[in-house]
Amino acid sequence: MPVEVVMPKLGLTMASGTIARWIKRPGEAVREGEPLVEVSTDKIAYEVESPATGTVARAAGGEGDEFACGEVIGLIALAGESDAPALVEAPRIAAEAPRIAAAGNGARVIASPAARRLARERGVALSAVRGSGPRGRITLSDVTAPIPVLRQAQDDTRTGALPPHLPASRRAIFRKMTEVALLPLAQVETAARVDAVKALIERRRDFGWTAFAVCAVARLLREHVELRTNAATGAAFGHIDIGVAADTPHGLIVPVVRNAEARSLAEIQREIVRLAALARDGTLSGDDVGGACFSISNVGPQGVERVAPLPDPPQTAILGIGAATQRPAIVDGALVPAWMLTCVVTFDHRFIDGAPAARFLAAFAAACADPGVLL
Amino acid sequence: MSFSDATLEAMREEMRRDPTVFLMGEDIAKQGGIFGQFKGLPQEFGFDRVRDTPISEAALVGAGVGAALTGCRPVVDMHFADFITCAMDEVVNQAAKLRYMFGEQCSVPMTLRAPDGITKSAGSQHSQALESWFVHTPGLEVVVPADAEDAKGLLKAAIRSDNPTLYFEHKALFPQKGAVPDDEDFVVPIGKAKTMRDGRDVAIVTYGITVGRAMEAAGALEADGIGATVINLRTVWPLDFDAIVDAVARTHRVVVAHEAVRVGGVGAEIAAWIGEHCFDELDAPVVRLGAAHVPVPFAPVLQEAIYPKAPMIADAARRLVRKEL
Amino acid sequence: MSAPVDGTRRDLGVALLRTMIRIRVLEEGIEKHFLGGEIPGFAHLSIGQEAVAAGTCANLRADDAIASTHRGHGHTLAKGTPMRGMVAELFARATGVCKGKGGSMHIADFSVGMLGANGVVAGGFGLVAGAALSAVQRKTDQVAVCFFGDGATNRGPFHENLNLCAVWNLPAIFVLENNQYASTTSTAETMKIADVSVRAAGYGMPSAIVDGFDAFAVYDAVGAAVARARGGGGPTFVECKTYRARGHYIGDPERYRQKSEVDDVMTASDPIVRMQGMLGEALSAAGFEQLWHDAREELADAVAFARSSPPPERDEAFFGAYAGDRDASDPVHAVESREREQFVPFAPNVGSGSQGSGH
Repeated sequence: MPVEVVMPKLGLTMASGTIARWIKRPGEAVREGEPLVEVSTDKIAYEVESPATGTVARAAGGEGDEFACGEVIGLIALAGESDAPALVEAPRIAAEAPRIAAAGNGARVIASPAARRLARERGVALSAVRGSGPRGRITLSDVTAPIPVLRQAQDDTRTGALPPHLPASRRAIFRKMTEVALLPLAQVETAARVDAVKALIERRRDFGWTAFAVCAVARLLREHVELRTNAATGAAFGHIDIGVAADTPHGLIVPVVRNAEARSLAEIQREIVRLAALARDGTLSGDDVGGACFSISNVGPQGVERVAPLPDPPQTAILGIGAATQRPAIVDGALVPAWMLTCVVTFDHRFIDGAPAARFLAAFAAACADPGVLL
Repeated sequence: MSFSDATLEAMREEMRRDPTVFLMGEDIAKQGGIFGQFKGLPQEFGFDRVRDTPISEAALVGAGVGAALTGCRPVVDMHFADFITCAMDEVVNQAAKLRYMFGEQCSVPMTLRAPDGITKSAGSQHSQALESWFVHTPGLEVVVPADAEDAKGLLKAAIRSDNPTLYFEHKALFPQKGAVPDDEDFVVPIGKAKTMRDGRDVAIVTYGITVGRAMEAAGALEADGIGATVINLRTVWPLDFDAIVDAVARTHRVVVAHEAVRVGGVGAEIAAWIGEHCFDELDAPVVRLGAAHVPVPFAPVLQEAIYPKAPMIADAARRLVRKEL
Repeated sequence: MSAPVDGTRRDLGVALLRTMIRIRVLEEGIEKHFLGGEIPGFAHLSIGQEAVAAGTCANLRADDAIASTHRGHGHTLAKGTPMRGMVAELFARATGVCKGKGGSMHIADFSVGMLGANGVVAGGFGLVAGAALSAVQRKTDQVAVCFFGDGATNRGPFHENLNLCAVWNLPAIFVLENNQYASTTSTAETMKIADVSVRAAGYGMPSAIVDGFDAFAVYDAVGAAVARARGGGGPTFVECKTYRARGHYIGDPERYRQKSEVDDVMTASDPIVRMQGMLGEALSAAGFEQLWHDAREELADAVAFARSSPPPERDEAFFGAYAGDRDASDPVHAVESREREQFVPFAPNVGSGSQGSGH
């Protein structure tokens, strides 16, 4: 019997993927584990490995064709077997059609209890993990192994309803922002006093502004539950994973600091540095992107005072901070120089009202004024 | 000092400390025990406190129970664990149950010493390890020392315990030397395991003579780059479940090993329990090792074939780590 | 045959009679309440054998030990256990002498040296040998008495323990209630000897044979044995020829004997009637009636006490097997609590409302 190649489910919210390009063509020999086809979602591009050694009997669809997760996209004929019988063509999904709810192919995934637990905690789809245990059992180390992510998806191979000269690398962002434009977004803004944070940074020297923001935001999100509402479900995200917008030679990528509320400042700093390095090299793993409940955009490194970023659905809020600058401030009637940070929270008003957003931002400003309390 | 000297020192210290402690059994007073483990005791404490009995296991154990009920702390030596079968009513229906049945009006602070285990072609009626029968009997405590330190500390604990305690001492361990603390108040607490060594890749949960075999296996595994945690349970009832949970959480792969028959052995209880309480920590099935389901044969080549030793333990651990199981 | 009664002998006779009547009333009460459904499990009555219990225990101190059989109500009462505690135990109440965990076959009262009825025939021999050995070890002059029936003398522990007690010269007294039947088999079917006491001779142990219906005779024979034991003279075997007037257990259809046999024996030999006869004018009819009246009142009080006592808390089932199992810092507590946990959700929502309560 030929072995099926299916469209993998690479994340909890992934419903379908697109064929980016077939690496091996029908008739070509392929070994188990060799890259077979490149697929992409709106988050990542991913190389699907051949599940068997044999000949590519069938490569369904061409570049740009979209398949639901779990659908068969190819067949590998095993040695000694005749050509595969006709593959039933999976229905194509029109680019504009509503997303199909995720459906696995119904096959049981064999995984050790510990592997299942970790996959659950990390939001890793077992169907996308190769098992190295007996009879293909997925084990702990299989879940923690990095999935090579070539780049954050910039290529969107669909071409319908796009400006004709839009670079291919902007297609995914174009589509996302078109979606975001429809949302009822609102903002709250404040200038936070950050003398204390600046002093702490200079004294400790083991964390930076972004890490501080991640640390404070993560801890605040424990209580300020509305700010981490998941637009897909209407309920709060369970995990406090914080997306950190990063500018790389490949464009915008948002790697995620997992379980940030449990990590110390120094740990968060180390994690941000690690993720940034991977992002620059284009070697982030599937573990490192997606699934965040809230994101932070920091334009301080560019020397700019203010940014009002847009939330990244299904997240419903985002914090933008700028460079800390010395500005005149009136304290007890006297004019004094104070280090200030302009902070903006943009939020989806379908889920979050102004008062909770303001409370959250005020709490963040309070954490800036007195970092010891929160940290 | 040797394991048997360690037990002797424990007896001496406890008999000096508490005049209600006395010892009885077959061939212990004049002969000093077939392994020399009672030498010198009657000379110090008198032949009234160290008594040779007729070959009457039922009376021996029954009298031990009766004496324990009425103000004494008898230590009853069974000669060979296999002969507990001749006094099963006294152990199971009397010693184990009187406290409970009588609504806690009494306790049975009796210690039953039982040399057990496979050695020297002793044959099927002198080689058994029966601890699982008594783990299965509510009301009894069961301890199994692995080395000289355990031998002394657990025997003292058993004598001081107010519960009827079975003390299984492996015959092949008697000459084995090991370090033993000097302190007269050194007691190995009942119900607490000891971590013999730490490793991140696999845990070997074991007791008694198999602890030494597991340590040997762990040494071989280290050479292969595999780190093994070895847990010496020391007590098989009450089991130190916290130590077991800890070991599973750290390593995610477990071998449970003992010399007693694998089928229905203590390892079965431990493995089932791990499945119930540590399910999400397991990266592989729990492996149990124990003797084959046959009586112990006489010929050395046959005797040596049927129970797990270091190579078998190491092999199971290796296969777990290499994802072959 | 016993001596004529006057003075201290008379007082002894009345005391023995009081005990026997109390035993009789208790046993008849147990029979009635068992058949009325208030006593779970099994019960084995000792009607007809009262003289043995009374005559033996009158020789003993509270710190002497006795071990009994499955037919132990008489021994238990005669040794000094309060009737309330006994009846409450049989009625499976928390106020029973064993907190409802033993019942008829495992009734015990360590405060008066009663080391328990035993559900295993011949289970008491080892306990008594041990209690006697314990007295020697602790250098006291306590003695230990083992009650047992003819059936027990065919079991291994009988032989092992008699031998051990004889060879170690232990202060034990073995009181055989030879009531002619072991369950459904008569002694004639199960041994080749007519007097079991010849077995004692086989172990070098002195013995006596007495009329088990004559409380004075029992008292005298056991008294001699107790004196021997206390004085360091070693064990004695006292065979009391007696008879079991009721079935092996309450509800026994007694297909192994004729009712006429029972009637004949009891008519000729009821130990209470015997003692009344022996006392003669030393006890008036009114005095005799008073003994019955007092016993019946005592029983009625005990039954009322039992009926008004609560059953044991369900959670009590899970503790008490180990010393230390109620102590949260003891490893035994941890493991036993775990085993209890699986049953907590199934506690019925009735009675004392103790669902889920632990220690």
